[in-house]
Amino acid sequence: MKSKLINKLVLAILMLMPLAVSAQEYSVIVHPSNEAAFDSEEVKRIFLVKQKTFSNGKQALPVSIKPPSDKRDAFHSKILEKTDSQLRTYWAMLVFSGKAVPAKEVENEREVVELVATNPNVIGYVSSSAVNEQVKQVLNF
Amino acid sequence: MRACRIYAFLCSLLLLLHLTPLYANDIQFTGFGTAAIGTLLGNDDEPFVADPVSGGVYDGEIRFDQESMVAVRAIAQVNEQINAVVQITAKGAQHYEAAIEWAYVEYQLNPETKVTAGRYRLPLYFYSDFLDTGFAYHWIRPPTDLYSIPVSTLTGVNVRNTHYFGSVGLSTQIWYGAEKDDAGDVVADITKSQGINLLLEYDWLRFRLVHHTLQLGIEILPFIVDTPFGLIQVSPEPFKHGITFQSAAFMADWGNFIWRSEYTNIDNEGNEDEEDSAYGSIAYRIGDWTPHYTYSYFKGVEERQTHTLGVRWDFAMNTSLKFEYANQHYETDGGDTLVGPVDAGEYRTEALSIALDFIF
Repeated sequence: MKSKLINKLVLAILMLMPLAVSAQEYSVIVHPSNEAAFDSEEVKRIFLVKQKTFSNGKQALPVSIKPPSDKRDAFHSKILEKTDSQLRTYWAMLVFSGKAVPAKEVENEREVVELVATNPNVIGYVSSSAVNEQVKQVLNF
Repeated sequence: MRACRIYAFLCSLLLLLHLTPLYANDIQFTGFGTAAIGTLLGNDDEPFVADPVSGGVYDGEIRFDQESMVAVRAIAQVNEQINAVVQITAKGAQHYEAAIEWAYVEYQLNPETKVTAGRYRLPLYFYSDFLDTGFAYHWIRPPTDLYSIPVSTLTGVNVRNTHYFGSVGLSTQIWYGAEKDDAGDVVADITKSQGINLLLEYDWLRFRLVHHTLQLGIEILPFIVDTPFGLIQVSPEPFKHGITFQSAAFMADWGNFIWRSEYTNIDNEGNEDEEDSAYGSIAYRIGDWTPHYTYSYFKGVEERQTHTLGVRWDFAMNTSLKFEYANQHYETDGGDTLVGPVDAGEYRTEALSIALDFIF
């Protein structure tokens, strides 16, 4: 009986752990009218400018936040899965081959929300607490 | 009626002149460069060709200019759909004479398709588009056994499209153009240069295929030969023949592990033998360090095999420092090549080079 209780307690702690580790949550946001489907792989391809359109065929305009930014760091490590030096080499390859330019960069997440709210082509990332009714949350990380 | 038309024309011209400065503000400058040092390990070693395009070569002395270069690119946004791009390059091996390597106008047909007209990079190899941007790859130079074609640009048109089918990306580029390369006593006239280049991407894997054909005309200016019967002038007949170039590449980027491999086959109507070349390169990222090893070969009238061992160090933002050792074996029974006859011979040469690559 007692061991069962301990088991339940351990289980409860284990379930709460992910919450404790990632206290700060981030979201990928788009315009409310954007009906395209999203998963982390697709968002990754859009921000690496490999994929130029959403799954509904409309043009995708990724917007990033200038460093230093905890949102940017989390997005790079969790969604893009690349280190800063890997990304710099990657952008050098794309930019100097004339194929693409990196995502537009803005100062803060308030600007990301404003851009996403006013342009159906824009996709950005912010802390989940910055999400409001003018934008649509499509992914959490 | 006519006066009315002239008036309308003048009005639109004035409007255009008035609008131009507004757009001219949208010019972006960017660039890259390399400062390199290199030498051969043995004083009597045969020269090591480091850059077949610019003619950069290492010999027994310590050389600073053979692979050093700087490039500045200007991108002007003409309107929402049209960009004008110019890249000016100055290379040490060419006495830092400024050359316009890129000069084109690109039209964004739709988010996935771009049409380019002007002078642009001939997309023969995987690294062709950013051939001189050392910062974008782990070596000091892509393997020269394969990257051996001395022409890297083409003037004409090309169309590039990228589309994702679910999680599989397909980039297609087709091109057509011509180029005249005047290298002093030899004029290479490239015409009907056309090709297709396919790049398939899935997650961390990339496959690339190229099929390319062209007509190569060579004119050699008359030269004087010293013979036992005195000096005589030789006027070689100009010739023209078709060349077919085919290439396949496989690239993998799995975590910190990097794999690069390319194969090319060149079928030249003017030569009996086809030319084959290939390389395989493995690299592994450990923090700011990327050690790598590459094996490459070239098989034609001449045969070359090269082992390259090196390391890239990303010691500061937008700057990398590279150390490289190359060990090349060369052998030929003699014969005719595209650039003239060669005598039988065999040698081994070892080159050491250090390069600082930067982007801005």
